Parts: sequence; C-alpha cells; structure tokens
Amino acid sequence: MNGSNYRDISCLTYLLVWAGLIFLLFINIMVSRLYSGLFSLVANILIASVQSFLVLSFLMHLKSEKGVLRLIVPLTIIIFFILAGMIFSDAAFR
Amino acid sequence: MDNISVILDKSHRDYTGSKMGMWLFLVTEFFLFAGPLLLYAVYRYRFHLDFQRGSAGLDMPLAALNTVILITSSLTVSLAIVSVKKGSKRLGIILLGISALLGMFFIMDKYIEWSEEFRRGIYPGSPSLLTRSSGEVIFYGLYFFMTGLHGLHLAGGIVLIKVMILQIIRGKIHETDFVQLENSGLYWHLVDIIWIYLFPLFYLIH
Repeated sequence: MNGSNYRDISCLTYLLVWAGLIFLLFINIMVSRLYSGLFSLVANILIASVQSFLVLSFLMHLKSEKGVLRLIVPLTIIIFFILAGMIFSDAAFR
Repeated sequence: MDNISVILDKSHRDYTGSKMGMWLFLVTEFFLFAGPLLLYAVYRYRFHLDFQRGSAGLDMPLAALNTVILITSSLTVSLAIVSVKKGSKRLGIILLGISALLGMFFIMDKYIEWSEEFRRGIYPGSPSLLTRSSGEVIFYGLYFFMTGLHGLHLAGGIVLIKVMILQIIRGKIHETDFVQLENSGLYWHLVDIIWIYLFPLFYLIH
C-alpha cells in the first residue's frame, strides 16, 4: 500500500481555500491602490505570505504531514532570512 | 515472504522517501528564485522610484487574471488527486486536463503581455530600454528573468501533468499508488506560490 500518511482534506475545504486565495488577491490589489510606499510593500508581502501559508498548509498538506517533513519549510525560511541578512548587510556597507 | 520473493519483489515503494525527495527538490527550486528575489530587494531599495515607474508600465489586470488562473489550476490539481485516491480515474483525468489547460492559458497571457512590451521597445538589451534610467533597466531585467524563469517552470509543470494523465490511463497511478501524482501536485503548487510573490513585487508597486 503506497497511500498517503496524512488525513484527507474534503473538497469543500479545497473550495474554501480557493475562495480565500482569490479574496486575498483582491485585497492585495486594493491595498496597493489605496496605499503606497513602505506600508503598501509590507502589506503586499504579508498578504502574499498568508496566501502561501494557505497553499502550503492545505493544498500541499503540510498541516497534516508528520515527522521531519514538517520541519522542511521552517528550516528553509530560516536559511532564507540568514542569506537575506548577509546580502543586505553587504549591500549596506558598499 | 521468503528470501527469493523478497529479491524478486519489485513492488516496494517508499512513500515517505518519495515525498521527502520531492520536498528537498522543491527547496532547491525555492532557492533558485530566492537569489534573484534578494537581488530585487536590494535594487528596489536603491531605485524605488525607478521600480515604481517600471511597474506602472506593466499590465496589472492581465497579471491579476493570470494569478486567478494559476490559483484555480492549483484547486483543480488538488481535486484531481482526491478523485484518483477515491478511485474516480476519469474525473481525475478531466481535472488534470483542466489544470494543464489553465496552465496553457497562463502562458498564452504571458505571450500577449510580453508581445506588447516588445512592441513598445521594452526587452532585454533594447536600445529604447537602455535610454531609460539604470533603475528601470534593472527592473525590467529582473522582470523578464524572473517571470521568464517562472514561465519555464510552468511549462515543465504542464508537461508533468500530461505525463501524469498518461500514467493514470496506463494504470500506473491508481487509488493505492498515487505518490507520483501527489509529488507532481506539490511541484505545481510551488509554481503557484512563486507567482503569488512575483505578482505583487512586480505589478503592485505604487
């Protein structure tokens, strides 16, 4: 048996996630229209991160995965921020 | 099972190992885009007005439509996996076909978008683009590189989906063995996540 080791998600949940993603897209566009500068940038990235969280958790099933697979995304994000810190500190002193 | 049967048994599959391998591959794909993303961040900080001007020249409504298309294709891929797991192979094939079709619509829209930009003289190395400010040249360079790279990944994903359709038809993917399909779904969702970030970073700068 080569079945999944996570609990199956219902079709309704997938539809709700889809609706949430479309709604957040709409919000993202509205925020960029109403605001500008740093606030708009931060808001856009935060909204995109919420969308990514929904995709990772429900569509990619990370929410119901077990074991070391659940650590992959947090570790990746930590490494990304370490790299970002190194690059920004390098750029800041040029 | 005796020793001979174990040696001859070709049906052993490691579901967790397959998933782990796929996730590790996705991490490498993430870092492939993370590099240019960090480059974007540094140059946006340095040339924020030029990036604003560059963004104003892009077709945001078409890109928003593309985002809707990609999000919907992620839904249909997920529903296809559910269908196959429940034994509805025909529905799974139809949903995967819709996903591939949506992917092709995305690429078609991208073609329309880039054609318009090329018509206006905006393409890497164009004489018209080089007369603009450094920041705008960098913006468009990053734009073409990152969206082009994303488009290539999407095209690869479309091919992968079509291969999965064939595998279902051949009976290689079914309700008791579907890890290939799940892994293909993971790849498709990553392509979606990348676009979820590219869209606001390039099209929503105000």
